[in-house]
Amino acid sequence: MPLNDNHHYILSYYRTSEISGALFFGRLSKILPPGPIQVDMTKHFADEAAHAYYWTDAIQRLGREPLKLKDSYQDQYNDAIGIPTNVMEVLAITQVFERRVINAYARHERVPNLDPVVKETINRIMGDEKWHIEWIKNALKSLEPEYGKDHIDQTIKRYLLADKEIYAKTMQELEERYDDLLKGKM
Amino acid sequence: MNIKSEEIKNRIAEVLNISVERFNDETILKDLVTDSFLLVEMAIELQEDFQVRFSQEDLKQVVTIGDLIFLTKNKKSNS
Repeated sequence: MPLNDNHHYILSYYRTSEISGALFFGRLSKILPPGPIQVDMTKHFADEAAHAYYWTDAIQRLGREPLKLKDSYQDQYNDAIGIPTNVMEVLAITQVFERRVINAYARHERVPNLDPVVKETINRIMGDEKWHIEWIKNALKSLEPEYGKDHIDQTIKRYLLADKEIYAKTMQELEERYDDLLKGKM
Repeated sequence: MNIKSEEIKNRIAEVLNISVERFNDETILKDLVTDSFLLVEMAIELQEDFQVRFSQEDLKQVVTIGDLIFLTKNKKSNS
């Protein structure tokens, strides 16, 4: 089934977000000191790049070309929250963001009569996303002696609040498109 | 242990891939670094190299290169 404009936009948005994620984690992987966080961050970077490829391929298999979208969801973060200043803050912001991604994909999976190509792509990505949450959780745990558990918990809480605000302010268009998809307006 | 301003300036120049002559203490950081991720990179690199810890609140006060140098030196002398 060919993609309608609505679905085309959302899949292109996923692609753009995965590319932004890959670029972000790729640059971080370059500057992190050697150790377990560097290893997992590099794998995370590779996953995001692979996901961008999966969406590019899926959009093309569904008979369209990816839309060139300017901003991704991540791009809104720095302006709203301020730049993360250390590895702990980068991981905390990423954990919040990854939860948002998993929710978006889980919601998309519930779309009635979802095209098998989209379903297969989401399933393929979801396994990686669950691992992303897990490794970041473990990495933040490993940083507790350095930053303090309370400080890390407060940082995550602060980012969760900011995330809600950013989502409410900036994602209205995407929300409307999701609603249409969930109502079966393909 | 104290750090010399020149050491910090050299490291900033390396991260930004520019010559130290391109900036001075009064240079506004955001004029020099338009890519916000480069600011993240620079903050992390300075913390790793000089074994100091910045908070987001600390960096909110930083406007110029001189502010960043002062912050790094101040954190080091208090560590």
